[in-house]
Amino acid sequence: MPCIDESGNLTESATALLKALIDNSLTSKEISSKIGVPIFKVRSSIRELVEAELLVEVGEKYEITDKGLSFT
Amino acid sequence: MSEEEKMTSLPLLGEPAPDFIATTTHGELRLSDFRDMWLILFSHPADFTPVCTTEFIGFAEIYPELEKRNVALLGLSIDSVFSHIAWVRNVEEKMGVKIPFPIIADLNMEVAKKYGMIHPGQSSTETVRTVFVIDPKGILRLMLYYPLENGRNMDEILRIIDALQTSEEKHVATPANWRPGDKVIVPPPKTQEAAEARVKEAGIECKDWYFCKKDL
Repeated sequence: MPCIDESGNLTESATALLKALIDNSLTSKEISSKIGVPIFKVRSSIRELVEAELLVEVGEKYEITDKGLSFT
Repeated sequence: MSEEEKMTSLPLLGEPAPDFIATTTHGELRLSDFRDMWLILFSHPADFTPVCTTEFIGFAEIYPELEKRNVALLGLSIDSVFSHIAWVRNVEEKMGVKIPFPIIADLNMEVAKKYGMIHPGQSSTETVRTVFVIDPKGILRLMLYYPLENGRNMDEILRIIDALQTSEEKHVATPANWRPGDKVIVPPPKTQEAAEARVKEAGIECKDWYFCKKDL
């Protein structure tokens, strides 16, 4: 998985994505602008991070979970 | 549909581009991940081959210009993701060019078959050199097919992106060899009355009622 390696560690780009959500929830477009990563890659990473329960979708925005915070 | 028919079926312009979920060098990507932006999906025959290497360098060179135009690039070949990773690392090490875009590892040919990328007369195990331009709504807007032997022209790919985006935004057509800044074609009138009005219209240059150009 590109966001989480075989040892269970987050990749640099996934960590940057999670950190972008520490202070407030954002849409995928807002995350893309904030961390300077193309929107398609943000959408792909979000899917994995939601599946890993590090993010949750709230309406059109994404929030970091307590589990996600432990990775930042 | 027979296996051969599946391999030679082609998508159609103006219709939704065939959907896919693919393993890439940047993780799993879906066609829907590219909504709200233009996408160039292109195939190459194989990693670690010279023509493809020149093309990848070419695509990497126009990547910043494509980004300015809200266009993403996505490569594809029937190679493993490990082969792709090794190849792009080799291109960076030997040629000094970093490949910034993802590449689909289409080992089961699922995406290649949906997009008619395999032409058995050329090869039944490699994709020919295709280019598909998909608009922000997921509609297929352009297809280019090149044979195994001949590399693509990056200048033309940038030119047609400019032309497609101009047609989309300004509702005009573009003449042969059009470049940004050139006059565009005014869509021909559809009635006799409109044809008579067209030739008297100010601000456009008409050779005849059906052949008029204007500045944007």
